[in-house]
Amino acid sequence: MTSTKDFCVALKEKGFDFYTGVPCSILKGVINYLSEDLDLPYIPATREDEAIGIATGAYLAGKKPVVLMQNSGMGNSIGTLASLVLLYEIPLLLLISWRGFQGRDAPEHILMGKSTLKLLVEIGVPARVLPKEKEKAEETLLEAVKIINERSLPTAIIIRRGVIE
Amino acid sequence: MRRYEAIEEITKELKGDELVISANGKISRELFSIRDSACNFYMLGSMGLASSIGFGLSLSLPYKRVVVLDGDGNLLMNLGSLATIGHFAPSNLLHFLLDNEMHASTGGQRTVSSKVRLEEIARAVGYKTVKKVSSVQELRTVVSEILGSDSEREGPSFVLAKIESGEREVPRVSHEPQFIKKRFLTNLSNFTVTQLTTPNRLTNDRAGKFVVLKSVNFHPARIYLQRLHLVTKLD
Ligand SMILES: Cc1ncc(C[n+]2csc(CCOP(=O)(O)OP(=O)(O)O)c2C)c(N)n1
Ligand SMILES: [Mg+2]
Repeated sequence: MTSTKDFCVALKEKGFDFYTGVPCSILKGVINYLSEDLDLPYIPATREDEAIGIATGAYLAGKKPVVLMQNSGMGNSIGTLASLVLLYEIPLLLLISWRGFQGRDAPEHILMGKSTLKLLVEIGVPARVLPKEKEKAEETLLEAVKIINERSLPTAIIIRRGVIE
Repeated sequence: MRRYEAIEEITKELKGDELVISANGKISRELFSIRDSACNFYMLGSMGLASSIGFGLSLSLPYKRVVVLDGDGNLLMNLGSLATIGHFAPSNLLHFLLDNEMHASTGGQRTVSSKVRLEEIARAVGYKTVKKVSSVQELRTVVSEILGSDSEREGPSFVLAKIESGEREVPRVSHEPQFIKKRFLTNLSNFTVTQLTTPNRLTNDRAGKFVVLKSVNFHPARIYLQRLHLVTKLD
């Protein structure tokens, strides 16, 4: 398990300086922490695709943005990922919570839970599940940062309940 | 007023260093054929998000003017964006709505903007300057008032321009998406620190947060670093 604070500090240290998204209970701690950080903007968007648009604008302005969302919201955003983020190669870090993981969740999350990783892979967004062990989680973040910095591509980190507390 | 006349009128008044984000479909195509520029970001897909991209830019570059050329179909698809913009109210954002009450790009299917007063929504969410025009002359007056270098008008501004139906032949944007992005970024990275003016005020009810932002994140030294960052990334 990674603490909310360690995770957010790591994001800042890696140079991520613009945050936007739509909340999910799994990401509650992270979003609350970022919202209270006076050095950073956290922009609450009305929809996940709007958040991706805002983050794209921030990237064009020289920022290093992160978009936080629930996997249901990733479903809302497939078209935007395809026709904006992947089309122009906008290197966004997507932090996506994984509701419906292993089919144990509220009914509205089951189907998307089953398809989350497959959908990302299918459209070509490199995606990794954040491991429970702190050291491994750090490695995962480093790999994502590498994709963003060196290949200028978007990448997703999938976050299960309890992995960041 | 035709769509291309409106875009001509707006681009004529630009100094040249404003960042312009155009909505998808014919709006981007018209802008491309009227004034192609490194300052233009033609949004080819992601219908509805031009205002969000413009908003993200305007927040992050408060010393730059950001112009959004939006369509009624586009705006109605992402109406929440108006609320977000109204809340954070970046004063350097100029939002033009080219309202022909239809999806002209796909054959003229009607939208609901013939009855829905989008300018009232803009006013209600907190845009500081809101104008509605329906002729080239009116647009010219408003544009020079808002875009003119000595403009006292406070942003964000929303200008709804009623557009007549009728399309002319207009070629597709012939640049590759990646070229559009790289050219836009390179142009911004060449922008020198000496051109910086005082950051615009960011007003919202979380003002405390943005006061800090202004003095820390938008410090000229920091912007200079940001510029270097862009240069290294592109070289
Ligand atoms: C998500 C999505 N839905 C539909 C389309 C098809 N489409 C392209 S442009 C357009 C209409 C845009 O209308 P508006 O913003 O009013 O601009 P206009 O063409 O009227 O100037 C539509 C529906 C699309 N590109 N993307
Ligand atoms: Mg229209």
